[in-house]
Amino acid sequence: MRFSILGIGPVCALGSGMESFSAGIRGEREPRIERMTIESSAGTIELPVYQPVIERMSEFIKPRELRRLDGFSRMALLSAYMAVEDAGIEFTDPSRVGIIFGSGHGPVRTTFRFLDSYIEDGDKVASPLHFVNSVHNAVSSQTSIFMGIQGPCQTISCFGHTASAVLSAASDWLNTGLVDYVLAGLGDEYCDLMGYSLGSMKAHPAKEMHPEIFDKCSFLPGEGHVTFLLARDDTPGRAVITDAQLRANPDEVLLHDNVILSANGDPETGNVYAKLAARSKSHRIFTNKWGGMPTAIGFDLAAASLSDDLPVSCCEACGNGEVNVYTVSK
Amino acid sequence: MDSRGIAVTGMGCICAAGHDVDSTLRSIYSGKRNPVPPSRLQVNLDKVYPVFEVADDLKDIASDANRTTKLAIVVAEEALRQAGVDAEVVRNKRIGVCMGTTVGCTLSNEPFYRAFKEGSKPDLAPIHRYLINNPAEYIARRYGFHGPVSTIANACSSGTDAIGMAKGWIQNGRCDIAIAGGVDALSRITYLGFISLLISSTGACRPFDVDRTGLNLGEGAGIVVLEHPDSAKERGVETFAECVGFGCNADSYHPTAPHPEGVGLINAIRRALHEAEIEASDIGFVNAHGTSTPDNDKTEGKVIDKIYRPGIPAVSTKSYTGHTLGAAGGLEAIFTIRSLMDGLIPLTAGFENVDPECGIAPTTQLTKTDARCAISHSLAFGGNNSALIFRRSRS
Repeated sequence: MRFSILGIGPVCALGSGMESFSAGIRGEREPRIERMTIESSAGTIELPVYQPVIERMSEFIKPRELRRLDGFSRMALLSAYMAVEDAGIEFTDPSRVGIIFGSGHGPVRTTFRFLDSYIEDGDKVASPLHFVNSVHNAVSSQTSIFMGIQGPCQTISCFGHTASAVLSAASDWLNTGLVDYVLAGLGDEYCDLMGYSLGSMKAHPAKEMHPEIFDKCSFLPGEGHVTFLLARDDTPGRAVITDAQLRANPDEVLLHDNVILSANGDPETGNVYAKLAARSKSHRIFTNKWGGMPTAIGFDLAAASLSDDLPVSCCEACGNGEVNVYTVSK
Repeated sequence: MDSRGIAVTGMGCICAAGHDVDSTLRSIYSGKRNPVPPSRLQVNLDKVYPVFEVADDLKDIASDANRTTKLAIVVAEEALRQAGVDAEVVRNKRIGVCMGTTVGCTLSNEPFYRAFKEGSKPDLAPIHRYLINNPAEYIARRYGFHGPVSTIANACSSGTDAIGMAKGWIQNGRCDIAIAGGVDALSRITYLGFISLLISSTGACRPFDVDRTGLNLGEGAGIVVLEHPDSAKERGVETFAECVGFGCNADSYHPTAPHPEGVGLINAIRRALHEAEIEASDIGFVNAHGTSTPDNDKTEGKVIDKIYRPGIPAVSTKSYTGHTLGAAGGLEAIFTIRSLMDGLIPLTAGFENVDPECGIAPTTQLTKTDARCAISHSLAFGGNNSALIFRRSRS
């Protein structure tokens, strides 16, 4: 895996765009956390949820055009526009630009809105608009439509393997000459049913995330989307991904001196991160700035690209005790 | 990148037409089909919209799997058996899994959600089940594969895209062997969703016919085993065909309607031809997307008429399987390969009269062919278009 990151468009609890994101990484901006009241099977609980701060939307999309889009598509589209703006380029040939977006769960709120439409009003009046927006590829398709992009357009949804599949495909497209640029996006949204499920799994959810404690559950859900504008590695940009070790053994994986762990307070993956932390010279964890989601590694890669101490090894547990490690270099 | 064709060394399928590749092809070549009112979906509608169901309840397949995953397991077993992928191969080869689906990766268990809405605090078993049933992840875990894993959720082109992506994995050295294809079970979500869009038919579908009124949904799975030619040679397994070209392009036009002139489909076909290093005139026949919706068939017919040689045989096998959504590309890849191997192109059931707006007449009888190469199209919601080219193996 090898490509240059020309631009980044983060939309998360720290805000929208690299300025807000950088301020958040430096500790100058606090994440937006809303406390949801959940009627779980364990009783009434309060669940803190990291919510995205949507900023500057109207600079990119006219308000009347927004009416067709659900919240997940709006967030992703804003993120894509911001990645292009951050790179400071214009696409001259729309067929030479690819889109590949990944999500652990996809547009869950719209999926349940579609179910609401026929549960509440009957099978005969299921909502076509919600159905169309509920399919996982609605987000990438809307991006291709709004931005006029006609290259390959793909959508991945595979939990802990989502980011690796997205970034591997983007790398292959660029390095085989299929396209000149790729908009590679990663994101997830929160819904009430997730809150119920989390609250019911854990009778007393944490008040705040402590992802640096690997053996104790402090997972809190987050919502956000980050898009990268990528090009081949000989194109000057913010940073370069120079290598990826995928589905690797955490005891054997090669780590640089500086490590970012995508630990999220879930003890099921905590042992993987504990091994990596023990083997690293220096590690940082930022997940408590945007919350837990299957595609959170995207924000870690964005944070790594801001580092003065590259190369950085960005690590995500991908299930089955395995880890994906991405090397972010100058 | 290795530009050689990627060997197809195994195939497995299940759909309304049959429970494995041989029985399915026998049924399709016979020209018979069996759309029925949905027996597993309880709906409250004024009209009946027939579907193409898999008859088997699959009760004996993996108790922790949902119906979509069970369909994938059935065909993975068939494909792996045919390809001779045993425990030793799993140990010695990097094997990836790339599956396309629509409902298979969706958090949408309706009974659970209804109970949640009613405030009855449902048990979390359906959530746990959802978390272990992502199709590609499940297959990789079940068989202990250690290569790349990806589930593609690109609507109706997902299966085609999964095979195309897996082909790229092998060409770019990410794995030696890949299990690739598509899977989807019938669900109330897609059933009611397509009806809400007014593109489901109350009769049996009639691809490319002037009187077509919409699609019939179906369910199934189709998986191919793709393998680097050196790996297939080293293992001494038969190569049934080669996957030689893949293209995928967006229309950038509309969330549900294809571009009227088929801009994205034309670009995808051209890309696949370029990758295969052949001309459009080298394509012997087309396995069309052919959903039987007014818009799809009009656009696709125009493109077929424009791109390929006049009178090229084109078939829509959805007339036997229904539109199986994420599974369609996997199933139709297998039908394309078997048509190349068998020298037979099925007739397009339901087609009677040419639609001048489509500009083509699909096959109306079982047609002999000595084609070396054939193409399979997929068009998806959101304006995604994909094409796969297969070449008959010389052996």
